[in-house]
Amino acid sequence: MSIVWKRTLRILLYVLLIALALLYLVPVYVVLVTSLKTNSAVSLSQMWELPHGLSFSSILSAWAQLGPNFGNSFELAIPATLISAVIGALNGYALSKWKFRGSSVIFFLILFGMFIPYQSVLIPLLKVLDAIGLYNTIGGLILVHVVYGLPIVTLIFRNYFAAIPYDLVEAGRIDGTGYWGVFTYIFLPLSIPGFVVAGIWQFTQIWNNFLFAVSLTNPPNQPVTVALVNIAGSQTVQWNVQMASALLVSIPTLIVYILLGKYFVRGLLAGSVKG
Amino acid sequence: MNRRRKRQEAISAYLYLSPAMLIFLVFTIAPALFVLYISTFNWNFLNQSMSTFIGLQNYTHLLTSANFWHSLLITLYFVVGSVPIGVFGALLLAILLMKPFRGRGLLRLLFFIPYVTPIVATSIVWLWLFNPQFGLFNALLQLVHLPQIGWVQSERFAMPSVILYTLWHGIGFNVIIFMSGLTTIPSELGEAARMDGANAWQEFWHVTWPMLSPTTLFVVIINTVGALQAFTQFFTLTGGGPIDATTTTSFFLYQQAFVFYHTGYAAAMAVVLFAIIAVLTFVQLRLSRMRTFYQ
Repeated sequence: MSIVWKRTLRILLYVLLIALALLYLVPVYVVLVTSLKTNSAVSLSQMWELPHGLSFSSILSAWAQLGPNFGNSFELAIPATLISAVIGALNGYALSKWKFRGSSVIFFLILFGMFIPYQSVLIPLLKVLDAIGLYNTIGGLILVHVVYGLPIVTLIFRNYFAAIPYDLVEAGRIDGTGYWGVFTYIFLPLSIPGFVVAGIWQFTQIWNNFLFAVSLTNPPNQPVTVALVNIAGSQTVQWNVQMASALLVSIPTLIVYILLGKYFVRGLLAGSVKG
Repeated sequence: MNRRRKRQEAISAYLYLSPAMLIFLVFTIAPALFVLYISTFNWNFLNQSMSTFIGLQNYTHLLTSANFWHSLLITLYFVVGSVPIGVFGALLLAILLMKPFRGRGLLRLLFFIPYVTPIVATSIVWLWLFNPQFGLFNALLQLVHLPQIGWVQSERFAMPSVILYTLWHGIGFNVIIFMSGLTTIPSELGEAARMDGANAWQEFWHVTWPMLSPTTLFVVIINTVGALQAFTQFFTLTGGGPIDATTTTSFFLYQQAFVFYHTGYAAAMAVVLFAIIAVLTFVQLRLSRMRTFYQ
């Protein structure tokens, strides 16, 4: 291949990358520009223009409508993330380092949960939650998210722990530590990256989830994603407020990812999610 | 290790697993079985005692319903339209993003960020981009003198619009998984190929592609299952319309269950959808066993 041809190809590829990057940046531009406009400065014909001076009125009025639901979402996402990460770590530990009868069957059953279309179990789920008094509560949603998050979290920890040499388990055994001791003294300290990956994954999935939230809760117990859809669906809410609401709802996951994303990508690259 | 100790360990493993397993079984396997049970009833959502057993009637009704077959076709459209581009586009991006260049870290971040944003939030923004009068896409079409289209509001372009959004939102995840697969390929293999005179394409085809096959398989399966289950972007961008143009089976199922309260009928559809997902996954796994190169 001639050098000229090679260089042209290279340039073409990077032009493609830059064009794609622009496509990715456009929505960010629209959100920021529109959220910082005042009601009167928002019109369809001016949507691409920069605001004349900053105004936080859209963001404030979005916050006024979404504030309580933000509380719900935090009450949901934080405990559900912590609980599912801890249970997932215990499962992954048991399934990766302790060979016992039926362990592969159990692992298969857990993975089965990943392939259930959520729409299909919503009706019985609603019945079960109703029967135990958790329908239309944040507690009920926590339970559902922990349960349906377990397959992926277990998989993450199982693959992560599988990379830890078995000799360490043996060493722990010789020193007389049991099942629990091996976990707390050997695996737990080594599993921080696993917790970061599982934690970020779960937090994002739970915060962003809409289907469970819309089917299993009613106002005022709804997470922020449902409240956002309600705002977007109403004709009376201005576009700038809708944009500001979309921005507000995206901020927590964006912050998590911008602060911890490096570790998340590193953890993924280290192979915590692979078949 | 003596047998008694081994047994003790097995018992403790069971004990530590059991609470999680119990909860898990109650909330996944039990509802799955309950769905199977409901699907044989003319189920009354409000008053269960009024439900009547009708055997397989929901299934015969389903399999003879034009709406259901239409929804399967729409689902197929969505899967075929989104999965191959999502997988191969991500592979290309991953390969490019593995090469060192200035601003690489920023680009990696940029492509991944949509994946962490809530679909309900970013689809509001995309509705702006899709807006037939003032949206970006029609402005671009006008710029290159192409006829403007209705995007999500047109029967013909609603599905391509949803596919475009879905790719934007999800491709970053595939890119990262591919990058993780690429890092596990020993660099000596590529070097050896190049010493033997292989060009970039030959190196990709004879080294990278076969070594990457387990990763590719994982991405294909995850994306296919995800596309079959996709719901939120249809809810927010098109609402299944216009005129059922984007009513996938997942969306149709939700409508039947939670809008029309045809619970038994929806349950039968859930069973069929699950069977389709299970069969497809199984077929993909089997095909891969014949083809993939395992390290």
